[in-house]
Amino acid sequence: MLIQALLVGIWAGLCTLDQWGPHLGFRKPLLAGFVTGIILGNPFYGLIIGGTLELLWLGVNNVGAYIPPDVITGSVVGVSIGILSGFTDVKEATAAGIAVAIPISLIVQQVAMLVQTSNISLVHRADIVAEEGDWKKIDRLQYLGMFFQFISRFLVVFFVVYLGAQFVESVMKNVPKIIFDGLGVSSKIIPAVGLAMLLTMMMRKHMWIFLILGFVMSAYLKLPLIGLALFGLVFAGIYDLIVSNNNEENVNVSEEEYDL
Amino acid sequence: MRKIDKKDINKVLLRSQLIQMSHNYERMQSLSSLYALAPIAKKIYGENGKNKETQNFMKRHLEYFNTHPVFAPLIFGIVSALEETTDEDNKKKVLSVKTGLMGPLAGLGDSLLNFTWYPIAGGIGASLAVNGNYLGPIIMFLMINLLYNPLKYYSIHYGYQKGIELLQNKKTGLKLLERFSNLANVLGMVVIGGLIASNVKMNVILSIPVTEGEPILIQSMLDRILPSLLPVIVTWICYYTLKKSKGAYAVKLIFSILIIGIILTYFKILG
Repeated sequence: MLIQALLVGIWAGLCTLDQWGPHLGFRKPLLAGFVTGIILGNPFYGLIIGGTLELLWLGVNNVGAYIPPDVITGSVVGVSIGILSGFTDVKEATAAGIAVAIPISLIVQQVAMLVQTSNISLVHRADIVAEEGDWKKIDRLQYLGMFFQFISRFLVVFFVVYLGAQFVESVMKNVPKIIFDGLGVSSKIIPAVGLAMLLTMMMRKHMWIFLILGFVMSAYLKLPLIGLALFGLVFAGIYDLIVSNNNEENVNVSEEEYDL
Repeated sequence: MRKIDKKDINKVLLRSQLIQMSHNYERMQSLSSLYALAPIAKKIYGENGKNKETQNFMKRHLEYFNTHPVFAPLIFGIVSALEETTDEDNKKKVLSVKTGLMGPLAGLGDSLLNFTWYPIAGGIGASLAVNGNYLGPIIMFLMINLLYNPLKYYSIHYGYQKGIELLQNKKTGLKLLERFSNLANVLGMVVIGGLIASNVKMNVILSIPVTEGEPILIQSMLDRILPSLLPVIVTWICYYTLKKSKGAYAVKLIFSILIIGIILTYFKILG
C-alpha cells in the first residue's frame, strides 16, 4: 500500500505540473484517472471511473484567476479508492470513487489557493533579484514554484490514499446499497452544473440559437459528438460570414456619407 | 541585424512550457514570463546579467502578466521581436504590447480551447470510456495534443517573424481575434447544446397503474413532449442559479443534486 500510495501521489503531482505547465491534457479526469488505473494495475476501473468523472467535471475549468475544484487530485484519489477498496462490481467502485472525489476536489481547491498566495513571496523575491540581475536565481525561484505545486498535491494524495483506502473500505462496507444506487443516478445529473457553468461564461447575444441547434441535433437526430462539432463549425463559418459582411456594409455606408 | 536566431526562439518556447509554475494572486504569470524570455535577454545583453539593461529587462517583465498558457508563446514571439528592435528609451512600447495582447488572447484561449476544445475532446473520450472502450483516453490525448502543440510551435515563430507587421496592422489583427472568438463561441454553444442532450441523464421509473391494461410509464410520456426534457429543466435551473449568484452556488448545487438524487432513488422515482 505504501508504494502504491507513493506512486499515485507522484502521478498526481505530475498531472498538477501539466495543469500549470505544458497542457498535455493530463489535468483532465479521464487521462489522469486512466493512468492512475494503469499504475494500480486495474486500467479497466481507471477507464470507467475516469470517464464518469470526466463527464461529471466537463465544465470545470480554470478561467482567468479563478481556481476551480481541483479535479486532478479528485480523479486520482477517486480512482485509487475505487480500485483499492476492493469492490468487485465496477458500478459500486465508481459510486465509491465519486463519493470520495468530490469532497477531495473541494478541499484541494483550498490548498491550491494557499499555494497561489504563498507564491506571491516568490515574485517579491524576484523583485530583489532583478536589482542584481542574477539569472540563476530567477531560474531557481521559478523551479521553487514548480516544487510547491508538486509537493502540495503529492502530500494530499499520498496521505489520503495511504491512510484512507482501508478506512473507506470499512466505511463503504456498512453503507446501504441504496446510497450507491443514488450516487450513480446523481452522477448522471451533475454534468448539468458544469455545462451551466460553461453557459454562464459563453452566453452572449443571439447565442441561444446555436445552443438549441446543438440540442436538437443531438436529442432528435442522435448525432455523435464529432459530427455535431463539424456541424457546429459549419454554422460558425456561416455566422462569421454574415457578421463580417454586415460590418463591411456598415463601413461602406459610413464612407459614402463621408463622401457626400 | 538580427541577433536572435531560431534556436533562441525554440528555447523560449521550451521555457514557456512552465508558464504557470510560479502563478500567484498578485502578478499571475509575471515571474514565469521573465523565466521564459531569459534566453532573449541573454542573447541581446550578454549571459552575465550584471548590467543596467538586463536589470531593466527583469523589472519590465516582472510586471503583471496573465494570458492563456497555449497562446503565451505567440505573445513571447512578438515580444522577442520587439525587444530586439527597440532601443533602451522605447522599452515602454514592448510592455504596452505585451499587456495589450494578453487580454484578447486570454479571452480567445478560454473560449476556443477551455470552453470548446476541452469539452469536445473530453466528451468524446469519456463517452467511449464509460462504455469500456480503451480508445477513449487515447483519442482524447491525441485530440488535445495534435492541436495544442503545433499551435504553440507555429505561433511563436510566426509571432517573432511577423511581430512588427502584426503590430502595424493592429486593427485587422485584433479584428481577426474577435472573429475567431465569435467562431469559437458558436461552436462551443452547439457542442454544449449537444452535451446537454447526450450527457445529462435522468430516467423516471415511476409509472401510473391503470386498472385495465399496461401501466403508463411517465418517462415515455415525457419523451413524447421533448427528449431530455428533465435534463433541460435541471440545466436551466443550474444556469439561472449560477447567473443570479455569480457562480457562488456551484458547490451547493452539486451537493443538492447528490442528496436529491439519493432521495429520489430511495423513493423509486429515478433510476
